[in-house]
Amino acid sequence: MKTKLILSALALYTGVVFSQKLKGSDTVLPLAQKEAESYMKTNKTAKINVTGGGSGVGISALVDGTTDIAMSSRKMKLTEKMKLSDGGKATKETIVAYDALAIAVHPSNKISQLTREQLEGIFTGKIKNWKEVGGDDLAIVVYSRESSSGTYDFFKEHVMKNKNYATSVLSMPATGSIIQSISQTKGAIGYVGLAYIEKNVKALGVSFDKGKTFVAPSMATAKNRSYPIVRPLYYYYLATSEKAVKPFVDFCLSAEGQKIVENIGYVPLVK
Amino acid sequence: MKNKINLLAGIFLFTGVVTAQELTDSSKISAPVVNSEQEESPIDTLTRAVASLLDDNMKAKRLKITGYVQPQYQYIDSAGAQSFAGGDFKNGTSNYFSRFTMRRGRFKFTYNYNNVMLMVNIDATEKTLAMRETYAKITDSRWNMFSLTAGLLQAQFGYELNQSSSERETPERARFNQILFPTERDLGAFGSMVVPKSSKLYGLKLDVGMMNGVAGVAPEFDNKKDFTGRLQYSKATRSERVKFDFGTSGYYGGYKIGNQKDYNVNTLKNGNTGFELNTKDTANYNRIAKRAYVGADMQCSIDWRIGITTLRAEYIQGEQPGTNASNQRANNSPGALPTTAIYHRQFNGAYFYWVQDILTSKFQVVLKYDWFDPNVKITGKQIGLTGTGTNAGDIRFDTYGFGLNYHINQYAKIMVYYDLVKNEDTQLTGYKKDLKDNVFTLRFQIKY
Repeated sequence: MKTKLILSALALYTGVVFSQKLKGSDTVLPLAQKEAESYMKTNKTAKINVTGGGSGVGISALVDGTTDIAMSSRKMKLTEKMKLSDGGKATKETIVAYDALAIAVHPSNKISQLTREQLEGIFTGKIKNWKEVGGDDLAIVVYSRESSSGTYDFFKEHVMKNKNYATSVLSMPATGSIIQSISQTKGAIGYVGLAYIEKNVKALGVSFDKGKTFVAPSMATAKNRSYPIVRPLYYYYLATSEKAVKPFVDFCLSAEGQKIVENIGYVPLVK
Repeated sequence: MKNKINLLAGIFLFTGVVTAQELTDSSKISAPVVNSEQEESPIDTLTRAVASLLDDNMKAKRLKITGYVQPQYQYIDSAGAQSFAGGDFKNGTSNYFSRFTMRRGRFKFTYNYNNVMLMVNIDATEKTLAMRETYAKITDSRWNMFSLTAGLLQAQFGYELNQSSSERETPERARFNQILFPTERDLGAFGSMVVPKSSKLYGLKLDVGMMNGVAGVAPEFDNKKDFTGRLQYSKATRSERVKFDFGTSGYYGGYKIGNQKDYNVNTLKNGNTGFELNTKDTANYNRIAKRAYVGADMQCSIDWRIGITTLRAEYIQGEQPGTNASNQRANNSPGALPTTAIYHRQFNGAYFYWVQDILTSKFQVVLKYDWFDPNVKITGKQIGLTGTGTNAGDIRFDTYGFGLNYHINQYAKIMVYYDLVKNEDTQLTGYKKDLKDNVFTLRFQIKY
């Protein structure tokens, strides 16, 4: 009995050690997990271990050699590239999917669309009341991700044109917390991944052409790129381990892999 | 190491489960009436074992051991020549051309607990077993913006001084850094402010320190403290293809020279430029020899088709009290009142780096140029003229460096480097033409 258990423990250990490891972005995590599950179903010998921690953590793990693939919701920084280069490592970058960021408000809010300029005003603190953008006389409560998040950076660069967030903005540790807070606060606004939009929040249409056209976030508008707040999601791996990781990466890029992308609410690659 | 920990964890988990099973079985045998409250289910045992493992793992993670070793071979043009490429090529009165040395053998122990960090950095080589750094650092836990560091620590001036020797692309720091900051360290404290991402000023970092001014290798002796500071700004483009940093630094301090004579550079009665005895205030036993430097630095990295290119430059100027023969601080780092006369000099110096990764290969090419002019008021041909009091401590050196690095992996690299050293032609015996002091270095580095 003991021998069997020892062998089982060793098998478990070797399974963990010799499995392919993915680490990094919490945004990419649910996608990578689903992809890995499907991949392992069809490739019985494959072992894939997926963990989160953030884009920076994943890339650090790639530098340290403790992951095979770093998942990232942002582009690799030059300083990170230089660290890899100092270790004699060349990297490969692959976009595996896109993520559309939706602007969410409380369902009772009568506002249904905002321009980029209005969003910038709200998140920088210049616009403080919904009546300033045609809504009720109600104070705006702004929710954002924490500054360590890749989503925080993307929203700041892409929507706020690098202006700074207002000091009154409430930082939340995860997308789920933003959804929950918005659903419970009448004057709330925040940004979340399209996959997270539920009935208890309302997604707004946005305009990036000063109000000429407003586009609501949906899989269709994200796929045809008419919705403007879309960002790529990356896998980074070492050129030297390309042979080992390529089958899984290719699976993610295949029609089957891209179907999974769409099924869980991310935007598939355009063929 | 990590694999071993995983294996041990697996076995510990396994033995935890097995032991729990055995205990349950034995209790059944010895006690026919089972008290369900005293029994522990395998799930509880597993949970407890995992919790204990996580706890131990968390404690173990607080301590990090890192470091690097740099064994190297060097060859110089002439036996016994003075060198800033790791020290002179002589041992007592014995001169040599070539040597194997352990240039650095660093063992760094870092303990992190919440917002407190302790660090001990030891250098173990054939020459010494020395404490390079020992300090405590506390970071404000509210904004994660301010920190205070105290102990034996690195002087906060410029870029190259604070860059780790394991990361530098060349074997040694520029000559001016080695002369003005002989150990790169000092005893004291400094406060840092890192502007958070949410601020408009994100990218700014300020370090302000107060030090003994004795290079950290001698105890304080004169109650005089030195002040140092650096303000830097870092920024990357949105595409993450270009990153640049700018910095400006200042140093103000000095040390007591007692009743030693001191000299300033002036136009002498015979029309030459040379050192003149300072006759003012000589009765004052508490006279201070001033050290005052200002500097500016710039670093820029570009990621493009031919690989990552890094350009660096730093300039420094100021006033340095030295001896007649050297512009280093008296006794290298005064731990007592100087025993020789002090010579005040206005100096300047600079370095330029061009570091080029070759595409995405493991090779990297390095070109470096640095100069140090210890006495900007005197030209080469004026040095050594009778009655000027000028000496070797006034000679300007220009160093051209050419190197190739091969990064084997993240732990190991090989460096091949050649220092072409040019000194001013002077009137001074031994320095009338360029010295034969070019150095070839072949270094192997392991970083862990």
